[in-house]
Amino acid sequence: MKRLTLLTLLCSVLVFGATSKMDEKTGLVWQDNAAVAVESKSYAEAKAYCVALNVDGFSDWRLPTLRELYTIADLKRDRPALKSGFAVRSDAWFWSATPYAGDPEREAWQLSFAYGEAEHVRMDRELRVRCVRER
Amino acid sequence: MMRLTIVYLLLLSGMLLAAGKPDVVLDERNHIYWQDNAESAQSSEDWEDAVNYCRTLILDGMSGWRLPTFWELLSIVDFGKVNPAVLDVFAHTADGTYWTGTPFAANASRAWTIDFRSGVTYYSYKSTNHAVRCVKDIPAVKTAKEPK
Repeated sequence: MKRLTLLTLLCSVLVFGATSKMDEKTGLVWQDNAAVAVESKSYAEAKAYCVALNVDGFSDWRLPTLRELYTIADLKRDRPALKSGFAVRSDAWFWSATPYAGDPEREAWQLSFAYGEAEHVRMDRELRVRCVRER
Repeated sequence: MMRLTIVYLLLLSGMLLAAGKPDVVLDERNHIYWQDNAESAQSSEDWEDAVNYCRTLILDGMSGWRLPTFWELLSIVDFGKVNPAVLDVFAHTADGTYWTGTPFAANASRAWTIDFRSGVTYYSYKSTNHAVRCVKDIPAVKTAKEPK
C-alpha cells in the first residue's frame, strides 16, 4: 500500500511535473509536494514558512484561512478527508491562518484531514502545513 | 371610515408579515431560508428527532424544512467572534452545538455538528441531543413566457 502510494506520487510528478495543485473552482493553488506530509511547525513558523516557500517557480505563498482549507476537505471521504487530485494525502492536523476569536493572541484554528473536523489550538503546537497562493 | 381603517390595517400587517419574515433569514448565496425564531435557540433533539422536527416545522406559513448540510451551516459561522460565533443577522442562537444533515463518512451512527460558541466542528453520535436550526430551499423562480 505504501509502495503504491509512493509509485502514484512518483508517476504524477514524472507525468505532470507539478508539486502544486490548482483548484479551478476557487482559483486557489495548493502546495502539493512531499514537504506537506513531513514539515511540522508552530503557527508563527508555519506563516513564515509559507512566505519563504518557493514551489513550481512561485514565491507568493501564504498560510490558508480556515475557510480556504475547508474548500479542499471532502467529508464523503475519510483518512484522509481530502478532495481527489492531491498527490500528498496526509491525514494529520493542518494549520490555518485564522486566529481563534476567543483567544486570538494564543490560539488559532487547525483542521484535521483524518475526518475534516476543526478545533482551536495553542499557537505553539507543531502541525503540518499546506500553503496556498492565488492563481 | 371605521371599515376603511380596518381594511387598511389588515393590508398593512399582511404586507409587513410578508416583507419582514420575522422568524426567517433569507440566504441568497445558498438559496435557502434559515429558521431564526426563539425555538432555534432552545431546541434539543437527537439526530432522528431533529430530522423529524424540521420535516414537520411550519414557520411563517411555510413547510418543507430540512436540516442544513454541514457546508450550509458552516457558511453562517462567524470566526471573527465567539459566544455565539454566528453572523449578526441571526437573532436566536443557543450557546451550544447544532446538528447538520451531513452523515459522518466513517461511522453511520454519527453525524456532523457545529458548536456555535466557537465554531468547532465535530461528528457527534446521533443519540446525542443538540440544538436545531432548519433550512428551506427557495423554490426556483421561473419567468413566465407570453403565450404565442
